[in-house]
Amino acid sequence: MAQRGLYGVVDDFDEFVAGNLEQLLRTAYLITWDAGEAEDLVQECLLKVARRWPRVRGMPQPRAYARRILVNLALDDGRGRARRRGELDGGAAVVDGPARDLLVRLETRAELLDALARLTPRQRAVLVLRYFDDLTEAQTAEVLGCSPGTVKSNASRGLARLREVLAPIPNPTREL
Amino acid sequence: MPDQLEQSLREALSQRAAQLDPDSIARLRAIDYHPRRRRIRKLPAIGALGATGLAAAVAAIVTLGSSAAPAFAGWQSTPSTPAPGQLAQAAQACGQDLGSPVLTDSRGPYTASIYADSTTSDLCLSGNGVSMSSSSTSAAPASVAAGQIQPGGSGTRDSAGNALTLVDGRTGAAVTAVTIERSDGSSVQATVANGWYLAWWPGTVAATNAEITTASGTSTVAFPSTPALPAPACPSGAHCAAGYSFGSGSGSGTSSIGGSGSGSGGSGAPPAGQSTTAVHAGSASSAQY
Repeated sequence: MAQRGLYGVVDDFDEFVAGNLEQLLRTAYLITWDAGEAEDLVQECLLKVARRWPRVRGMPQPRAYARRILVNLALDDGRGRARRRGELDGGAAVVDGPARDLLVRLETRAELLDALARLTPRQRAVLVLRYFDDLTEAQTAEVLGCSPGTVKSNASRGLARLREVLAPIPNPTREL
Repeated sequence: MPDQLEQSLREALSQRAAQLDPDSIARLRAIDYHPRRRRIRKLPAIGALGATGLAAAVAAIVTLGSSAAPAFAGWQSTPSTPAPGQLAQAAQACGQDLGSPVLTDSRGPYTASIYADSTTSDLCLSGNGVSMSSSSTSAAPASVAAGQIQPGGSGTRDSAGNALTLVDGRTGAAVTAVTIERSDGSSVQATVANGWYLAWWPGTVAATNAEITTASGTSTVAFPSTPALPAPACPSGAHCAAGYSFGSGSGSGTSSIGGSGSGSGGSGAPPAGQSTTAVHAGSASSAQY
């Protein structure tokens, strides 16, 4: 029996999947830092979207809705996902410091990736949505269910964490 | 001017994203994410469809014809013995080349059959001039614990008000009978065979519980509440039906279209060989429509 969509001759849900699956998967991959987990998340996300498609298809941006589900799944505290992997301790972020000075010390982009891997999924989510999905602060806030101000501060904090990891400040006393 | 770190971050994220295994994308593309679907069509329409018209016609939800009156006359709440030739007519009406059904449920003049393999199940209902078919695909074989069932089903209503509700799914080992309790207090006896159960009834009365019988006794499992979905867009020239489906897993993985986990393996395939039209000793009424 042929698979057919329930809600119309042209199955626009299939078109939605075809056009968005890859980007959703890459976003999930960057947030979770784990390919298998990302696959699970995208599958669960699309199942949820499919069940709600009659309503979702009428939304201005179904993709934004799917992304919101995906990120919420990725950050769901009850899932026991990779959030514990490589979490940094919760010290206060140092936001100041010219980035270009620090970048001088970057030897390879791999260091940046290593630093990203050490962030928590929530910290990565802000950076991924802002700098990979190219969402505005307002759009990122909508996905994460928080205010734009929170996004801005979290992004700054995430960047600061990267700077910390990439360029730890030498302790002068140890150099004596 | 963008921060250099921000620019490097964009490049690093893109580089990392590009490292994603293409097989991951292929695996996800291979999955059918649709919820369980039901299509209803009037039998004469099937034969009238030409090859070029088939794709468009079957994708629309062509309703039970209003000429099929009264709707579901002769339906019974307890499975019945099929009349001579009824099963053959049902197989022909379904127009499928799916082999032998794993379950056949007869209720008066109506026959419902489930055809299934490891990941796909097809349901076909025919009789008294109407036919309905559906297809459901899961990513992995459903795993159902012994003595349990997979609660799930769907409902459909046509524009003329004719509606039917189906509950079906896999059963775990040792399940010998399933009785569906409905929200109006009545019950419908399901057919149980080869690791599957199926019951259906005219109308929109919801399934609330299933009483499961095994050799060691009975147990009860609740059905998920049925969602209310808005009517879908109707293609020009077609009669359209609104439908819904429901399953057992809201957010935790299992749904009416199967588990969402990656590669669980599905070791819970029920044993073959149970091929009974189970008759429960309970109080299933004999409502007639």
